[in-house]
Amino acid sequence: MTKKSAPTVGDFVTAAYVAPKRARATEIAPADRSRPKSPRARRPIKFIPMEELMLSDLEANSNFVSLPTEEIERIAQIFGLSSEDVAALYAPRI
Amino acid sequence: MTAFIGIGSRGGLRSFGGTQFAQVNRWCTTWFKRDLIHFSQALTMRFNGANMVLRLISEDRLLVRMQIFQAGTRIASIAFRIDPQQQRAFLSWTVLTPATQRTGAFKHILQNLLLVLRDCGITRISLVASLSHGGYVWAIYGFVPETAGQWARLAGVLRRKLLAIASELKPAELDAVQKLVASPDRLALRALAGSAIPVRDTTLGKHLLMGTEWKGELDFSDGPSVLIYLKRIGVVP
Repeated sequence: MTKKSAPTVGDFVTAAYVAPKRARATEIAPADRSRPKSPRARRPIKFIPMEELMLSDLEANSNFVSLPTEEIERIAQIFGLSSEDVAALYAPRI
Repeated sequence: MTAFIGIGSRGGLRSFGGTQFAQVNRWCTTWFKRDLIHFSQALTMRFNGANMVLRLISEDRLLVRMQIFQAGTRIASIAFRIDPQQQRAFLSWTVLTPATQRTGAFKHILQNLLLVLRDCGITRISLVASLSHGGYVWAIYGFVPETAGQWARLAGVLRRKLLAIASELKPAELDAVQKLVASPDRLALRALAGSAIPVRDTTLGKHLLMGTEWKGELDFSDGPSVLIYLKRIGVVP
């Protein structure tokens, strides 16, 4: 924890109260340049490929990773897999 | 040579312009049957806003790059091409912030995209399944290799990976997997991806396909593939 130091009289003297010196242009401080940016603004936005999120979504529900039953049946029919092959390949064991 | 458009909260138009604005607007009216604002709003549904850059490339192909915002913060960027004459779309890349995990944001992006592509008469989406996760994830999401040649090339890679773990599989398992890898049918990729045989703390499908690269497509006329995709992106429960 840090505590702000108490303001001094000098802190209250702002440019508005100081008359410009003769034959000299008024100095204009660049806006906000001295103000530090918020940590959120300074931090670069990190992006990750959508595939990573898709995978974590799949793994959040392990049953969801497996193929639908109808699709397993269709695949078995197309590739001539026996019911033992299907059991070996697609039985959810993880 | 682009058009740009900014959509704010509740679909309000925030900014627009660009040298191709009129041409892109005409493209939307022709192929999407509504104007560019509606096109942008459809892609921004369920988000707080978006900045889009659109460009017509070679006749009627539209290239779209889009930054998506939620609560004032950029949460995603996506790039894709739509070729309505060929009835094809190509999903180039999509990135999101890690904070969007478990928010379903990527599903909303894919749902919006699907609706827009459907309204543009697109019948297939293609992409390059790559990076560390893409080769496995897109197969699980219903995509299959674009051509038999693509599948043959990928099958060669999978055969080599399978050899390295052959001793860890039971003879019956190895037999069934070898049958799939040797098949000329590109649907074999899905059959392999869905395999739940445990291998090295994961499943066989994931072990074989993680880190692979292949050109894939989702054909809307293939009912089972579309159904898998719709389920994965949350359109169908």
